[in-house]
Amino acid sequence: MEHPATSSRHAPRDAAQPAEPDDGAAWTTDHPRSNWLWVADLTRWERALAIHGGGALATAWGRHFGFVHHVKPARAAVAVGSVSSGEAGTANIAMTRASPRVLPYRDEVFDCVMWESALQQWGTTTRPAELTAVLGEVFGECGRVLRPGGCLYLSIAVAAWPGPPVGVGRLVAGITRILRRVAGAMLRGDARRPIRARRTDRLSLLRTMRRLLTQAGFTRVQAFYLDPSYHQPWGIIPARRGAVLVYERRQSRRVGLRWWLAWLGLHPLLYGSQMFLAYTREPETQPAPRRVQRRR
Amino acid sequence: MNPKLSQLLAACSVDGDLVGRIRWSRILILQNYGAIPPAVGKRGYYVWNRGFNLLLLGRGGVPRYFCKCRPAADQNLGRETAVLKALNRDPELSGVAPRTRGARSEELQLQVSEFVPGQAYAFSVPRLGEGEWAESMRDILTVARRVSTRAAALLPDFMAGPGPVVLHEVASPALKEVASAGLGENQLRALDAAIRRAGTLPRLLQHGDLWPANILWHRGSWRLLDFESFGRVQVPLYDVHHFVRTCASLRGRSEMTGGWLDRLVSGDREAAVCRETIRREACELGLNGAQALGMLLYYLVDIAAHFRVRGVPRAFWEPLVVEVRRAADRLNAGAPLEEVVLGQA
Repeated sequence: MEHPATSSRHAPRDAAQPAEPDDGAAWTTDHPRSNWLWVADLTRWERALAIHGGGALATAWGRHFGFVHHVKPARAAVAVGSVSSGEAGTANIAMTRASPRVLPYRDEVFDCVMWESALQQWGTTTRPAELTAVLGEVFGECGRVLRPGGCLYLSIAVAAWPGPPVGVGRLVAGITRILRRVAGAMLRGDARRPIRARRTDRLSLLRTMRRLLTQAGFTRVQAFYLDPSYHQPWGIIPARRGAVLVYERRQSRRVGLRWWLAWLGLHPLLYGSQMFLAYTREPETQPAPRRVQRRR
Repeated sequence: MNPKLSQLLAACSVDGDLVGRIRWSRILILQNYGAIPPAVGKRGYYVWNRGFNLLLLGRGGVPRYFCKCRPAADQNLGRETAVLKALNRDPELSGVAPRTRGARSEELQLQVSEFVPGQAYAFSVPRLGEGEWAESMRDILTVARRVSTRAAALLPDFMAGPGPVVLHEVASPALKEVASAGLGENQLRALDAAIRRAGTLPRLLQHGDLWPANILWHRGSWRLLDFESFGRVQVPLYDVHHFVRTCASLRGRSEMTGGWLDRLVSGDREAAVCRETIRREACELGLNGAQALGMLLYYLVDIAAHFRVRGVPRAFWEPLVVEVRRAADRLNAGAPLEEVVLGQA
């Protein structure tokens, strides 16, 4: 796929991933990962919770929010600490170790919860049914600690979703299988039956995540594709056919297979990462800020 | 949408359609290259000040606005907005530049332009036949020259001075920058001498980043994009050299190796098209061979220096420095570059 740069001065960046010079040491591919915050419908920017993010990424969150709590996996027993963001100097970042299934915070204290590479911890080792149960628990916890009107951000590498990876051969086989299923379902008159999470392919991921987030109490769920990945989200595209068609048209001179797949509504097959913004119910009145306190 | 961005969009609204909530499904983030706020708060055109772009869709999913979002410290976006506004107001150039507005807050600058549809020249240039390619380059450079000429009247504040440009004076900082990248004393002397031979040149505002991805073909005319560097360079032929080099690079043949100068002086038929294009533009501007060669050397030195100054990684600017070094070595070897590069002008 072609990715024209906006400037010839920028074009070499697309061709290689070299070491950084001293002068440009702060320019890393981590930083644009925080720019989705510019399309997030957030009204408060006081406290955020980052699950499994860290380093430069946590610092990037820290430039947007007044305070960022950073939860790392609970495996290693490390005392709760607090570190300065240093580089940005705009916020402090507190770190703790805990499982995202039991977040050690009171209810409704965060404006935003961010979970990058959400399936990385479990995706390749857990069966789909177990994974959806785990995700349901984590989403429930995220919803609990979010303030009304707060936002949960998820980024997911599709390959981490348990099931066969989609290569060229599998892509064709997958499309054939889908078309056969659709034809069969239409003949049986049950085309509207929801796809279950057990159908482990890219098409099911989008729908399953929406369902899990809705079940966890999130009232608005917005899905996006990240191109080429959540590590380097050079394009963030709403997971809607019209938007994908516009995006794909900009990437290539000719209408190719990707465009036709998008036109057929099979756009989840095209991108390696997906992003979700899920919002809790809007507050009826603006609440007063609450102190963050660990739950006993 | 983030309320801070939403407010800026409303401030840039031309027809009132950016006031109020914009549906999430109509916003695409494109060219998301740099965080806002950036990790480093340096003013200027640094690589970490690149920010991202937004494409806003209108009814029916049709692209409506193209928005550039840059950190407050970036110095080029405001400049580009001023250029686009001025060009769009001019009846002669309104088709070249879109209707544009700008706004800024403490941490974000925004530029909103009406979406310019069209086919990027970058997509078509590799597939054009030699004749079509030569013709398209001539037409595009004519448009660019028209913009540069008109801009002098439309944007008088952009002119660094009233008189002509003394090439070796404007080249001096770039030469120093490239020298710090490891150029030898004799190489620097050769470059400086060739640039001095160019003497003075008429002052002409240059686009600064005229390359195929910044050119669109729409309904029978060429449109130019990305004026962020407009006017940074005020010596003629800079755009021509940049444009011809990048076009040739997009048409790159696998058997062609080496740098740009090697290609340009080769016996390849495409190299002849490049030389003819440069020669013709030099004639249009009334420049002689020494001036055109001086400009080519200045261009190579400046672009290498500019990459370094922007703070991009070494792997990006090093090939350009190697190109400068080769040019200096050719000069020291007594190669008749003036004649070879530009032909018998």
